[in-house]
Order: sequence, then C-alpha cells, then structure tokens
Amino acid sequence: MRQSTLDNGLRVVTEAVPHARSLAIGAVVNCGSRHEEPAESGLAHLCEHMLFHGTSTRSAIEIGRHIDLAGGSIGAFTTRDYTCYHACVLADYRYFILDLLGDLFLNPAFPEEAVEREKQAVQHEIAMGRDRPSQLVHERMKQSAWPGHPLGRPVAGSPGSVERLSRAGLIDFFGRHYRPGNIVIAAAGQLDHDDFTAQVHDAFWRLTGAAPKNESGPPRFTAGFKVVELPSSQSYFSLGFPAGPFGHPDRIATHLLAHVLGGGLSSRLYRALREDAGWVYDIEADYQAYRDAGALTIEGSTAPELLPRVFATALREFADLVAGRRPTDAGELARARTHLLSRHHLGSEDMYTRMSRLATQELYLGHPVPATEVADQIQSLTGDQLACDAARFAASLHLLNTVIGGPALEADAIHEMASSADELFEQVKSTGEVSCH
Amino acid sequence: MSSTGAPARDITTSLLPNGLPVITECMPHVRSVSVGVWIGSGSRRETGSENGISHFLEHMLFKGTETRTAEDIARSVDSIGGNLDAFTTRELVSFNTKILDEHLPRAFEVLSDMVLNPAFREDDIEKEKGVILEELKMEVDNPEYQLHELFSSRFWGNHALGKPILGTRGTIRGFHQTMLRDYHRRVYVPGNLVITAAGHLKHDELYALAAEQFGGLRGDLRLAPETQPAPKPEIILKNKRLAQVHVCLGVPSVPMAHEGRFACYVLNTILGAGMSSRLFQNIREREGLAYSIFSELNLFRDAGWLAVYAGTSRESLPRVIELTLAEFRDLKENALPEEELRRAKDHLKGSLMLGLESSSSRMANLARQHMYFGRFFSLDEMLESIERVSADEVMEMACEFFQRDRIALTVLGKLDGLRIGREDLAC
Repeated sequence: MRQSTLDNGLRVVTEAVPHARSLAIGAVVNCGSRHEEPAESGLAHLCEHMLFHGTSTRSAIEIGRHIDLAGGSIGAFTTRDYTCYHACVLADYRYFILDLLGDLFLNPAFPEEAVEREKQAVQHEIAMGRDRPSQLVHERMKQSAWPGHPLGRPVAGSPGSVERLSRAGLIDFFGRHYRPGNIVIAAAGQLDHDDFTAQVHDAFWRLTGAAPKNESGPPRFTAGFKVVELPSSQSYFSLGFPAGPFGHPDRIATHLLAHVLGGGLSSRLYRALREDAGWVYDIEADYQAYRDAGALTIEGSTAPELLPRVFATALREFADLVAGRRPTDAGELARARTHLLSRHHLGSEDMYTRMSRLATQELYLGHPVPATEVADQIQSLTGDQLACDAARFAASLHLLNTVIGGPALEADAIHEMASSADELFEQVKSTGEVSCH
Repeated sequence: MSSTGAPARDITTSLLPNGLPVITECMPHVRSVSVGVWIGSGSRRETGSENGISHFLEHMLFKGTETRTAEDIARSVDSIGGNLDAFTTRELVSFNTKILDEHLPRAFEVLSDMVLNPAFREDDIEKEKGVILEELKMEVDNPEYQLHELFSSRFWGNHALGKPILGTRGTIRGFHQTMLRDYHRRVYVPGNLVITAAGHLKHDELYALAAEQFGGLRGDLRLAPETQPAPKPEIILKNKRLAQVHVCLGVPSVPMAHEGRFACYVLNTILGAGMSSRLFQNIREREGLAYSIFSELNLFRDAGWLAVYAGTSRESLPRVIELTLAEFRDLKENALPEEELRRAKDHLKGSLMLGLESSSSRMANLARQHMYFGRFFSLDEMLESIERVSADEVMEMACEFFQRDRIALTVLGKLDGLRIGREDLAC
C-alpha cells in the first residue's frame, strides 16, 4: 500500500496485488451534492454524466467505444460527499484507462445540445427513483432529517432544479471543484506503484488550481414523522437515527451494532419480524457514514395493516439493544466480530472493493489504512466500546426520523405509531444515562 | 490460436457412489472458498398447484432441520462470516456460500444439513407463507420486475416456463407439509444435484466432506418430463400510475447450448449491451429519451429470448419503439462494420475474463457448465468461439430474430390512450 502526491497536489494511492489479473482504478473527486449551492442542486451528478459526453479530442461515441473496447466495466457515480469514476479492467489496459480519465478531467467539452439531452436523461433517472418506493422513503428520510442542509438534498436534484441547470453553471462548477488537490486516484490489482504514478502524472500533470474550501459545516439531525402517499401495495418505511461520521473512532462499533440489529439472518430484527412474526420479507439495519455526519437506518416493508406493529417492534428492538435492557451479549459480539472480519478478508479478494476502500480512506481520513489495521480494530473491539457507542444512540433515540411511503394510513394507525414511539422514549429516559468511559 | 496465456483451470470432477457429481476448481492464490449445492430443476418443472414450490422449498430449507433450529443455522452461518445465499430460477435452485478456507468444513456441514434434512414444521410453513406473500407484493411494487413478469408470463403462452417463480397467492396459500416433503423427496436426489466449489481447496477434501454428508442420499428424480415451449408473441399494454413508462420488446432467440450462441452474444452486445451499443448511443446519448435502456439475453435449456428494456416517458415512448425497430432493421439490412464487430468481440472477451476472477463466479460457472453443457470449456476455447463469429452470421441471426410477427411487446405505466398494433412493429 503506497501513497504519492504529484507536484500539482493530486494524490495517488495504490495497493499492488501480485496474483490478480485485473486492476481496479478509481478517480475520486472531493465533490458531491453537498458542495452545491441550493440553486445548483443536481449539478455534481449532471457534471459526472456530462464528462462522458465529449472532450476536445474525443466525441461521446468515441468515449463509449474506448470504454467498451477495454471490456470489463467502467462507470461513475455521485454521492453526497464525492464523485467517483471507476474502471475494472485487465491489467494491460491500465494506461488506456488513465489516458481516458485524464482526457475527461482536462478537456470536457460540455456540448450545449448534449447538456439539454442529458438533463432529460436525468429527469428519467429521477422518475425511475420515484417508481421505487424503498428508494423514495430512504431519500425523503434523509431530506427530512437534515432539513435545509445540502447533505439532506437528493443527489440527483429535483425535476425543477435539474430543469434550471445550464451549461455555464456546469463549466463554472467543474472549474471550481475538479482541481488536483481535490482528486485522489486509487488503484488495486496488478501494478507497480512507481510505474503507475508516472502514468498518472503523464495523464494528469496539466491539471491546475487550488482545492476549494467547503463551507457548509456539519448538519444537525432532526426528528420527524412523515407519510408519503404512494400507489404501492405495501407500506415502506425508513427510520433514521443520528450516527457518527466516517472518521469517528466508534465507526466499527456502529457497524457492529447495525449488524447485530439488522445485518443478517441471525440479526435481532430478522429474527423478530421475519422469523418469529412472519410480518416482513425485507428488513435491514444499515449505517451510512459521511464526512461530518452519519445515520443509522432501519428499513423494510410490510402490509399496511401490519405497519404499526412492525414499527413498534423495530423500535423496541433498537431501544433494547442500545438502552441497556438487552445489550449485545458475548455470543452476539463474537459472532458479529467474526462476521465483520470474514467480510473484510473476503472483500480483499475483490479489486474494486480494495480500490474503493483506499479511495474513501484517503478522502475521509487523509491516509489509506492497512488491511491488517482494520482487522485489528475489528478483532480488538470490546463490549465496553460497544456499550459506549450504544449509549450515544440511546441518548439520541428521541431524534428518530420516520418516513412511511405507501397507501394512505388511517389517523388511528398514525396515532398508534406516534404514541408507541413516545412511550418508548419516556421509558428510555427514565432508565437514566448509561455511563460511558 | 490466440492464447491468453491464462493458466489452465485446475478442474476435477468425481462422482459419489450414488452418482452425485462433485466438481472443484483449485485457485491457489485466493483465501476464499465458494461452495454451492445446485438442484437441476426450478419453477418450470412444477405443475398446476405446485407453481412456486421450488422457491418455497428454498425458503423452508432455512427454517431448520431435524437437529438445528432456524436460529442455529443463522448463527452458524453468521459466525463464520459467510453470506448464505440461495436463489431459485426457472431451471435451477442454488444454495451457496463464500467463506474463508478454514471455515469450509463447518460451512459445508450446515449447508448439507439444510439441504438434506429440512424439518418442514407446520407453524414455520404458515409463517413463511406470510413472508412470501409480502415478497410477492414487494415485487409487484417494483415496476421493472412487474414488467418482466408480465412479459414472460405471456411470452410462452401457457407453458410452465412462463409461470412466476414465486407462484401466485393461490398456489402459495395451498402449500402444506406433505406436499413439501413429497416434492423434496422427488427432487433432491443424487441425479438432480451437483456440488461445486472453487477457491483455496483440495478436491479430495471436499469429496470426503461430500461423501460423508451426501453419500447416503438415494432416489430417482420423479418429475413430469420437460416439454419444449412455443413462443407466442403478444402486445400487452397495462395501465398503472407510475412516474415512468416501462417497456419491454423481445423476440425468441436460440437456447443456451445452441451452436449459434456466440453470434447471439455478439448481436446482443452490438444492439444494447454497453455504452457504445446502438440503443444506448441512439436513444439515450443522441436523444436523451431514456435513462435506462439495454438489451438482454435470457437463455434456457431449449428456448430463449432477446429483449430490449427501456424506462421512458409517455411522450417519448413511440419514439423509443420506433428507434428500436429502426436498429432491428439496420442490423438486418446493412453489413456490420468491421470495427463495430471487433469492439463487440473485445468487449465480450474482456467481460468473460474478468467474470471468472472470483471464486464465487467460478463456482457458479462450474455448475452452469455441468448442467447446461455437460462439459467444461477452457477460457481459450470460449475466447476462440467469440473470435470466430463473422459479420454474416450476426446478420443472419438478426434476419431470423427481428420479424414483425415474432415481436412481443409489453408496456407498463400511465398509458393515456396509447394504441399499438402489430402493424406498428414492422422492421
């Protein structure tokens, strides 16, 4: 695992994996939807799309052909915090990909008519998301939990905001953010760091400019309860609680708690709601970490008439886990630890996973973390650390933000859910603070 | 011969005394082992009230064995970090897991116990019905899935190949203990099973584990013989309040083991797989009419289809169909440019090589090759077959596939008086 910085400030992190035949390369820009002004909502994502629409030396079709020639897979995605352009190819195609990425980053043409067409494609993408109820409630929950903060806005923007985006806005946004100090090139697979860095240099040395400062500051997590009426047969729910950011020392503890709660076949939510009650097919807890904030979510779907019961049970399971009434026991801790550890080792066999670990660690922490160090952190996680992390969740349980999507709900059902939540918060409060060292 | 310099695959097959094949591939440079138990019959072998039983059985196998509760199974799997994965398709069922090499004996023991000794407890069956009915509703809330089911349920007329994998509310409600036990006894037999594994392992080790667990398994497959389906292209327009209009336009293609399959792969790649494909370039890039547009091959033992999917808007729908038909026409009438053929072949070859890098993809590849081809193709052999495809072959295939009367069309979304007739599908 090695790191170098080019003269222009662009960072290169690599991990050589001797027996791999393939190579995963990622060009990650510290620029996501959270770096947009309110009027720019959707710009980072549109920018990602537009980079494939032609440079001063390649037309869009030439870029498409170049990509398909390499076989493998090449693509890009935009998150709240960053934009990632990635490729998994046979190792021989290494320079072929770097050369293409360099061209996309240095010479984008943003052709006027392509901008208008791509805005239409993005409108279709937003519509597709609206047709997926589980995705819709997830996005709405984040919007509602971080209101007025750019982290809460949907990555792709809204139909209205996308409509207003312009070529001039794109060029300005691109110029401000696609700067070498803002970019990490990460790679894992069959490579030699020095050769690779020299090739990155050849492709990117002409990129100049200083990285911008992000002014938005961390968001505050807000409680809420919202019902979105949808023409679906099931009720979809997203329950969110505030959690630590990516760099938080308890990040692994939180992953472990999420796993015990709703990560697998032996998780508490799966046991209670699917195996014991048979009320749900889909139930999951997950931890999402961003640069300066995070959320722990409980999501799933059920029949509308079962929703109040599923909601109450899910909340009760979470409260029991974090508020000290039924904390993680030794068996659960051991199982979850082995599980995370195995996942970690198994993930290391996949070049894409390795590459994206390198890139996000460099981006969020400023340095890549050796795989053995992560394994040690998992291995050495103690019950006390977990209890401490759980106590933090217990203290902010009342910040629960709920979004329900599905058929209209009776006032009674809403009332039942609200009171079961209030009752629980009251009980947790009366058990007092859990001390945390 | 263009050799890739790829080391030959280290594949070993042996049969247990009862005939059950155990196939392994050693990959010395990985730490993982992927192992799977595969059942060679899926939803298409079910008849009448059995529809959905293969999938139901797949679920029930997680619910406990004679000596383990569901929770015991879940805990053992969880504690070795494996993700016990199972899925049911129209032609097979798979139970598989990927673990670190040291966990293989334990993982295999749990996997075998699940597959061989399910308890089928009454109350678990009833609870699982509830879970699967929720799964069914969730699938209906997913437009892409609903579109696919609508399309496939009618594409094969009334043939079992078109029946939903999950079954219907009616058939699911009707499942009971005797029926499940009976189906399990008839189908989970040596001649219908195959065990495959790939990764950091020794063949003899896995063979010994398999012999210990599966050696005592007896019985012959007792299912009605498979019949060949006949496609029945129809136009189905279904109104639903959705933000997008979803469309699927497909034609019958060759079956899985057909000698022309490589030409078929090339045709599909050129038409709608990848960023330089014609549909992506002309419908998405040039006109911005869709975000998601691609073509896909669905190949079975004795039949198959090639279909184009798009998510678009009501206004753009006629144009999307028109442009798709125009591509069909062009592929039939105009010679394929050499450069485009070259690109498609390179793309396929690259995907093939990268697709065989992980232990899990090789484990699945072993099972599919065994079940569909009865032999193993080396990487070089497959690369050569792709290389041999000629522009003429692709054009012949296009002429055979793309005919007005062979096209099936399904549209799902807000239709606002949409009318499409057979005459609108000329190509």
